[in-house]
Amino acid sequence: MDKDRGKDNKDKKEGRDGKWEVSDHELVPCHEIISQKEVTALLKEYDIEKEKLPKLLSTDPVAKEIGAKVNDIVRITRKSSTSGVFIAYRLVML
Amino acid sequence: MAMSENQDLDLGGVGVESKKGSIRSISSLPGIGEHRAEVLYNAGFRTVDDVIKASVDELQDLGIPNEIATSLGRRSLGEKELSDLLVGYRLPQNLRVLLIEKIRNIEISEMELKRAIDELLALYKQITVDPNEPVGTVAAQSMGEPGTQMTMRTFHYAGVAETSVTLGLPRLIEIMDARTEPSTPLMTIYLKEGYDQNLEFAKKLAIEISTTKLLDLCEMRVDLEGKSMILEVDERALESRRVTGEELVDKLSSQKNCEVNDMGETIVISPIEKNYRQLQKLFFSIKDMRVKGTPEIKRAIVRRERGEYVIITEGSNLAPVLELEGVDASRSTTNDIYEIPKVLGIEATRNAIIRETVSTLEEQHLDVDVRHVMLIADLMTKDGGLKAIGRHGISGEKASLLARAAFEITVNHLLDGAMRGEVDHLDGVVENIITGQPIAVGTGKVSLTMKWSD
Repeated sequence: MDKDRGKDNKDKKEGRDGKWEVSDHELVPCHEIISQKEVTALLKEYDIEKEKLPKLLSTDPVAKEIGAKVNDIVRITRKSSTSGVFIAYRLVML
Repeated sequence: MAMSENQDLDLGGVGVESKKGSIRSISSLPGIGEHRAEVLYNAGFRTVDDVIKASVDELQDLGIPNEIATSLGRRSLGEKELSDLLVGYRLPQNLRVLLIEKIRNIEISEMELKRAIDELLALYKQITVDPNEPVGTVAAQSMGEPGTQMTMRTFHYAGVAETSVTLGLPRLIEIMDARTEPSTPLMTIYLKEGYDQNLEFAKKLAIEISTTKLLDLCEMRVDLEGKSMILEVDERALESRRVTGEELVDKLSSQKNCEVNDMGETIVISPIEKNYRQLQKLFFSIKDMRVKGTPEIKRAIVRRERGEYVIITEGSNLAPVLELEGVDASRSTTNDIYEIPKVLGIEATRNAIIRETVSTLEEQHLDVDVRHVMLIADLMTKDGGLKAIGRHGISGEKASLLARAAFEITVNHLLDGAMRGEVDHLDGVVENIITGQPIAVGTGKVSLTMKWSD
């Protein structure tokens, strides 16, 4: 699992063993774990504590796929019909 | 009239500047001093606009150095240059893309471009929601009002007459209540490339996943004397459902504590302990047994949609279906929103909520702006799981006692609160309306103070 930690699922094709991957589904946007530096910058920009961010369960299928651990912050890049692209952040918990 | 060199007035229309005036305004441009301004004037340029509408080459020909000419004059800007220029600005991506598309490869000067950007930013700012706008209330009203125009009938036969689907208001309510099972669960299974034009494969797959029960394949008789059950196998049913006799026997054999005997046309199944109680137990455990098919999938039909074969199912079980060979696991979907967090994650759930809600509204020919739906979807999924809007979810989690009491089950809330000595801090909207105080929304969130000095 540690090998996959931090990897994002942006350009993933089907896994080598032919099994399908959650992140390939059209309903699933790109999830990436962000670095400590980015976390500090993010919290500073919004002037919040990380507990105020929306949450992502550690049991979430995509969280598991990218190896997110509790207290990580995940950047989610969504396609939006109102603004083209929208970036959201979720704190991993539970 | 004596003409002095300072009075070079053009006898023209209103608003024509004097030579001195022209030169002065032109020299205000960055990189242009009085000298260059005069050169430009003599070349025919009278206003700042004239200068920035000139091409870079024209300006260079007049002796203006390259760097300055490039920033002043008109030239065609490529996509990369434009997107680099826009980096610092606070614009959503689709506006960025729109601007670049409109402006690239058009002859434009940097000043004109800056004007365009500024104007775009001003418009964007004007259009953006004001701070403290009660967006939740607006979203609720925006969906509630068309709700009064929705059909309340639970279903009508959608599409090909065979499957019925919950539509209209009942469906909308199902979605908002985050129901664990919709009243008409339905999956749309897409096939991978290479399989999607293969009708045979689609039909086979449909049969494979449709649940086939024991009683679909045979008739059951109880032999009280022999303390066994006799299953009369229907060969035609076996064939149409693509089950072999061996498969049937195997499935029956997997049942605990029993003996299965294949007698050719019939199968005799009996408990190891030959008494009535065991017989009865066995009877109940096998009478509803599923022989084949994915659990929950009652029926599967093949349809042709937009140039490919798809399978529509009555009943939903997303996880196993996505694993099946030939199934396009990136597009296949279900209308059972409750399944999605466990299989595809919470972000997918948010998108599914938006999709289902929008399609329900569209089907009723109602046009609700998607951002209201997006707000609701965000609210339902903000804590990592799927939460209902009503008292089992968001409304039930409000901190204010009065708000919860005003919503549903009034007396219980008041009683419990009184017993516990609960304190309501009167922070929210509902409780302040009840107590007749200003609410923290819009102008209510702002206090005014007068400034005495300059």
